[in-house]
Amino acid sequence: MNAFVIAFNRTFRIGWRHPLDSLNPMAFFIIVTSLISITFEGGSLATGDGLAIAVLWVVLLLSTMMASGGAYAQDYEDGSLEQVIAQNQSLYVSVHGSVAARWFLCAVPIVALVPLGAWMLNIDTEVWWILFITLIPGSIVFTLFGVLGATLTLGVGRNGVLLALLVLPLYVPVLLLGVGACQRSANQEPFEFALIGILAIAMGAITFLPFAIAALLRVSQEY
Amino acid sequence: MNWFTRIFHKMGSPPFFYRGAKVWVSWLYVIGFVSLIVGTVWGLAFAPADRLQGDSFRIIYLHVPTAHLSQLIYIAIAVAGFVYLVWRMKMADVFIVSAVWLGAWLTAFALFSGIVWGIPTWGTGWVWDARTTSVLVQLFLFLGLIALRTAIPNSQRGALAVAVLAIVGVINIPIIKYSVDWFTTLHQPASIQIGNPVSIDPSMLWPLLVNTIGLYALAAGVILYYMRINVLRRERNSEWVRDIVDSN
Repeated sequence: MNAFVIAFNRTFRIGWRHPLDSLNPMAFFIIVTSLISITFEGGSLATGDGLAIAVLWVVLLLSTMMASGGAYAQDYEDGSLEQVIAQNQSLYVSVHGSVAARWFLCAVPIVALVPLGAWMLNIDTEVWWILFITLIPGSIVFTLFGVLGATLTLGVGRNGVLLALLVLPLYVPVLLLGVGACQRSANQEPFEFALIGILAIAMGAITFLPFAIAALLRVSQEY
Repeated sequence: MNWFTRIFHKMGSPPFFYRGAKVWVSWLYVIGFVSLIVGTVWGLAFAPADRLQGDSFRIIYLHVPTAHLSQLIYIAIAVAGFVYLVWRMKMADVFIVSAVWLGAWLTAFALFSGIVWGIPTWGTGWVWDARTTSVLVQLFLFLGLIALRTAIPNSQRGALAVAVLAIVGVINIPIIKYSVDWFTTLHQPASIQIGNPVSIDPSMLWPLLVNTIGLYALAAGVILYYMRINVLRRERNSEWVRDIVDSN
């Protein structure tokens, strides 16, 4: 079995046995979305309003960040990370497997809740498909940056706020492009430029970020 | 060994750097202060007023050099991060630690002077367009670097983490640079570009150049000054620092 499959299976199985790690961010997503809907008094948020799309994106971004922020923390503490690194296999590929599993565990359930959130925020159903198309690559980038932030702060106790400070600035380009694509589509304007931009960032992130994550994992064992 | 690798290795040696940088600090301070005073007085008092913007354009003499320099410092930090990751050169980390605060302040000042300039000319201090937002993101990146460096007590590990974060964050720089050309924005495109004729009159351009040189020199002086302090602090247990302390 290659490193990708091993890492994927391992991370996915551990995540599957700790369902709260996935369920809590989902609950967070629903609670924050409904809080915002309540404060907008339900129907008063006009359909096709760009604000609702932006709110949905930001809430999804925060939930994904929270979900992926715990990556590798358990492995770091119980020493299994050392074993993963000591295996004579590509750490880059292993990180890919682990991040892919984490995307299935942390981001996909939240993206699956998007129709519910879009319904609560009164977003026009015609925009839903473009929401999905942009959120799938977008959530991949969010997960990758979240895991990067988690590895940056490995071993730093109580790292929630620090994680947000490090990771949120990196989310901005994807957030702007994603919200831009959805809003333009809602206004029947051309949105291909923003969509291509998101896909380009996702490709770049998938290719290069695992290098950085792998380097940081090695460092965490060196010192 | 050619001269380049020799300089490269020598710069990596803390005692060589500490002794060599002393003269540079004083000269850079002198050049920086003199050109800043000359450039600012020239720009504020003697350069002609702008046909469209009147006197409010004069903030260009502070806004453009700080904004440009803050970006340059970010790039320099990312390059130093790369050098640290590849060669594990201690001085690269010393540079990052010493430059990151200055970068944050300069970015904050560029934003502030931009707001001040925007109120009379754009009619609003702040717009959420590509240029202002990406400079704000640059400020957040600087703050993130500072927070990360102080959060990890282990010096070497913190240095490596900061190096990686700086390199990842460098993606923001081309976004800042080209935001004005790619997206529709209130911010005007750069008036001084390599390869294009300069679109500023020489009488307004010269003070800007003098100020830019002054700010660059002053920033280099400040960074070198803090680098010397940081080198001393880090090498406090080594022989050469004791010699310096004893000889004083």
